[in-house]
Amino acid sequence: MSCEAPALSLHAVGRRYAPYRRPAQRLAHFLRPRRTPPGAFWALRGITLDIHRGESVAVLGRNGAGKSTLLQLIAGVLPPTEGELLIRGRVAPLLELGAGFDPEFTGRENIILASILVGIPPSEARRRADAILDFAELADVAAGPLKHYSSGMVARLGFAVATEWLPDILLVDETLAVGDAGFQARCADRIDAHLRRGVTLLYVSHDPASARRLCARGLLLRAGRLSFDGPLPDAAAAYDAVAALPDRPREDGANPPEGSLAESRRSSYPLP
Amino acid sequence: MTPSAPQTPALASEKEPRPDAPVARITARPVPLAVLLDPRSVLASLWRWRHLAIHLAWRDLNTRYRGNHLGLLWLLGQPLLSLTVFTFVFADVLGVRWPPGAPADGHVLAWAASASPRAEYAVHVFTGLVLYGFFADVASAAPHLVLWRPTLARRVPFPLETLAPACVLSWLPVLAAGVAVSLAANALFRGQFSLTLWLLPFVLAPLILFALAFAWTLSALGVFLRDVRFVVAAGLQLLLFTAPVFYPFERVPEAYRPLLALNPLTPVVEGGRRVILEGLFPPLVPFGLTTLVAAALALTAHAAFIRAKRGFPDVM
Repeated sequence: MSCEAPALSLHAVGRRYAPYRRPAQRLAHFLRPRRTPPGAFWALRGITLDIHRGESVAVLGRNGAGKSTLLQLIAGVLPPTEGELLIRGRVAPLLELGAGFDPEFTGRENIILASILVGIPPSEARRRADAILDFAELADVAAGPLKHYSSGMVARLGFAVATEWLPDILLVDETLAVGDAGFQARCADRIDAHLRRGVTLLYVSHDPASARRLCARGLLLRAGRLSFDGPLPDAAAAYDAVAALPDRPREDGANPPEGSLAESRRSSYPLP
Repeated sequence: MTPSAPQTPALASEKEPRPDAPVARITARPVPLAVLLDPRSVLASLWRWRHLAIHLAWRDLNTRYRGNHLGLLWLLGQPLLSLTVFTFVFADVLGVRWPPGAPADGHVLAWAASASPRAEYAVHVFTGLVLYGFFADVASAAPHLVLWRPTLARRVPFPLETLAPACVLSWLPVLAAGVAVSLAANALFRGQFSLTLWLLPFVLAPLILFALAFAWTLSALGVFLRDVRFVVAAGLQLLLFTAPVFYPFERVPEAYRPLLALNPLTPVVEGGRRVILEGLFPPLVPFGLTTLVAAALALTAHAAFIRAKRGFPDVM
């Protein structure tokens, strides 16, 4: 096992955001890729790390530190601006539950659509649809269009379908709070069951206490840089020290304020 | 699935995560052109996402006609309406006539002596309009294919390049309905059935490839340049009147013919009428060339889309 290739391997990964004033400027940038657009800033830079199969890793950091950008890069939603990611196996991002759903379609049809997207053939998805609906406690509304669901129902369905097919790497955002206490307990059970089967977990958090239950290793992101990588208690201590300080300005001097672009792209789950 | 087997509740797969799981490599460098322009890679991608394309196409068809009282009848209603207007203008007001009668060398089952000049004109124009209409529908829908789905473009992993083939797929039933009406009109008004109809797939191949090429190109451009759809509307007018839809190609003055042959729809409309109505073979060499050009265009458009896709999250 020791010589096994890592499940996730990042090499000098960076992501730059540029505030294009008009979409056409992005097109011009394709033609002159070496010219840095004005006002560009690095949300994440120089991230190099390996995560082995079965590891549970907490990603700590303040608002705007680059946590969500990191997960979006791994999920394949955002392309990196520099560097390289190697990902072994299927990634299940629990970042924006139900974001890809179609409001005009029924719950059952959306299950099939979401399953197709992770490579499950429709016949298999149809067979599992009832189990997914049962888990999401939506069996009685499965035939109605999604636009008539409450946001909590959509999130429950999103969680149920995203975790139904055993992934290799699970990306979880701490703001993942779906449904009532009973449903949350079942979500936690299911994630635990996945972890027992050797699924790799990345858990994004503001709060080291919530990460302790799941993770042994912690990464600390600070202003887009990886400032600590090690055992979770040490990472948590480093985070507590950082959290008390004012934010370090970014190297390119374009440090975005709290709630900046990087952060506004983070998921915000509709809570019931 | 023996009932006695112990089961972990609510988990679909009992198998462990694969140690030999496929490796995805995501780099900042764009995909090399050698890979992008390899037809096998495009075909593999189309095949991989075939279920998604079918699902999206079915959804598109469904929402397009959902809530309409006539439902799928609109598939035929629209071309029939334009046919009526254009026949009135060109055949009745301007007195355009189609060259009389079918050529003698056509392979047709014929049971009527001759058709009225008006019916002759109507059937020919209708067939042309059906073929042009398919292209026009795809091209008009293309600019907002990605633009109107911001959540797919920047919040979930989604193969956006599937939207264009799905769009093409969703208009194929409309095309099929139009061709069926053409055949019916040909039988009813001209008393003929074309025996070269089996060549129809070869005539439709370049049409579908052209539509796919434009769908990929326009859907990527539409994200960055929001005025693309106005250009498309104007361009479609141009294509309609420079393709031999309302007039036979032979009526075009010799000097203008090479110019009109540049319109990608010209060989399609001409060839389509030959196999649907006249029982003639499409001219082999020009048609083969057209198909090759269309395939090359589709390949290039796909490559451009994949390259452009990286920029979508920046502007949506």
